[in-house]
Amino acid sequence: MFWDTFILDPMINTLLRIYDLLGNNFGIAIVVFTAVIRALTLPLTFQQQRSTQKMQDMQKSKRWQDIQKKYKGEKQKQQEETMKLYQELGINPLAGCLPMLIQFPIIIGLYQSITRALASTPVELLDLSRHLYSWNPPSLIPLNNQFLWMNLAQPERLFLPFLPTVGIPVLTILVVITTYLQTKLTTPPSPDAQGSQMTKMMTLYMPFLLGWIAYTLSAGLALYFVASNVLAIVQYAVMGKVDWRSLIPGRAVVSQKP
Amino acid sequence: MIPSPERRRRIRWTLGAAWAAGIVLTGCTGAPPATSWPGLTADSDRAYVAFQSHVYAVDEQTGRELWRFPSEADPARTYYATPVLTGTGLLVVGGYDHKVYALDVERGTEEWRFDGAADRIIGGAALAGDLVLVPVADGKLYALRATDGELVWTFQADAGLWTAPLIDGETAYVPSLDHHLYAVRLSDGRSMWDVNLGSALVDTPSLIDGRLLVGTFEQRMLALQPGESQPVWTLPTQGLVWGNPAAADGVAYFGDIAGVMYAFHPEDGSEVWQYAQPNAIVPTPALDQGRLFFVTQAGEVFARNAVDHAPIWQTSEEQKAGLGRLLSEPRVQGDVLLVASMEGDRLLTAFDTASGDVRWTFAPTD
Repeated sequence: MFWDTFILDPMINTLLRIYDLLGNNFGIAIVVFTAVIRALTLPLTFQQQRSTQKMQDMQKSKRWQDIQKKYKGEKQKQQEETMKLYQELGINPLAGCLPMLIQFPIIIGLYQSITRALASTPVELLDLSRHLYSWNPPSLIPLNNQFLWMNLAQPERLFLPFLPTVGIPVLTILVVITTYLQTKLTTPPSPDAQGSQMTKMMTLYMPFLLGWIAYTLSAGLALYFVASNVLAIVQYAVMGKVDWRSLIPGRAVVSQKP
Repeated sequence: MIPSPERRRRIRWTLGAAWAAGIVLTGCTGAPPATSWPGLTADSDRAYVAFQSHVYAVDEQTGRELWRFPSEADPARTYYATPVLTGTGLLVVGGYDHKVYALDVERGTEEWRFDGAADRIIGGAALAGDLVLVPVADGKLYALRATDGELVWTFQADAGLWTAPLIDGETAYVPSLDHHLYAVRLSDGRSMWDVNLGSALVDTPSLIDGRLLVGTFEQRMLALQPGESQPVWTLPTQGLVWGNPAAADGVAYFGDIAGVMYAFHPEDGSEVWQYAQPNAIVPTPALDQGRLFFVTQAGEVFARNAVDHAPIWQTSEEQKAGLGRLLSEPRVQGDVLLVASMEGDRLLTAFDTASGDVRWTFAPTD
């Protein structure tokens, strides 16, 4: 109830308002809505980046590396010394996680609001009709699900005239490519081998996971993934945080030691 | 305690994985949820109900399953459309697998199949002489020969068709999500007239005293004279209207999702009575011998005197949970009221129309 009233219903109704203002084009509404949510969560993104940067700078410092070496076999002592270092430098190690935790329900809400607004079946439409605010007329639903060649409520396939029996999952391919690029370009290099390994796993795991979701679920969601990835890359690029060189094959993800 | 950098990375990794898993789980856990309510029809002996993986035939006297189609569940095939009896021993039902099946009513065996549709079949078919008209979610109406499923003609609307057309003489009235009600000539599938009613049309219109009665999402009931674009009268409602009216003895009845049941004169829309209760009324009510039967989304069944809505019986609080959500149109067969459930502990319940006692319930077993 709390989730619906305070997260989902406002999001669904904002999405429908945008859809109405954009002349009933749900594809563009998804892109604009994703951009609006990204803009609203920008302060959190900045905070997360600042915190990550501070942490990385600290991990590159001689003092931090000395602590790691000196107390290699004494985890408790190593932790205590690291904490002292945090306090001296005024770093809160949880500061990077907090914005991510706050963004988590927003991202889930965004995803659910798109799914619910699509309402491609009677039960979904009936449920959606009961969540409309008074400023969204009931005549707005069900939404016009057509966008370019896609039915946004169904898994997307493009059938070409010369290949009428084979559906090409164009959006799925775009989701895989943009997720890979977004993870590769916006994940900061890790200072150690273990972190680097995890980054590599994420870079491979996320594109296939989201690609599979895009392949099996509605095209509206896939469009959201693509929009979200592209906007994230643009946002990081504007902030000067994109490392384009990381796309060059063979380049190590582990950062250079100072 | 402040976690170490290694631990922090692990936390981040776990959060990332949880985020991804959350997305997957939101849409993909366990059995797929029902995306529509059961489609229920009946003849003098059997009830036929289409829901999720099967179409079931159930003995009306005992509630015993007589057959199911298909015999083995197939995740790619789900059924929600109200089946239609052809009167020639066939039961025709469409599926979310884009196919139309004609089944032998005695055995449940497949007699013919039409696989030319390109989208889901959500709404029930309608019988028009020797044709079966099948509405499809891509906006196409298929006219099939009832005997063998041969395609005779098609009609294309601008948006999805989610409900059966209304047949009157040589005309099919086709409601569409594109806000239009189309009058389609049965001989060749050509549109003769259409009217924009301002919002999606999701239920079959009612034809009462020569007028089409159509409920809309814009919270009103409209009466239309076929061929004219302006409503004869408009009845404002408190909630959006999904199910269209049933009529008997010069009075028509329908409910809205605000939970109000309306009784009115179909000739001018004037009110006879209103009865308000808190739960959404979605389907068309049933009428029998001066009694009005209606169901709510909260799992209640009401039997009322149609003249003045005086209570006859209604389901108890304990029965509500077992009945789940009641969104399908109830059917009266003889002295039994058949009610189909979703999200309850059974699929069908047979109530004694006079007393409200439960005669039997039917819950399919795997």
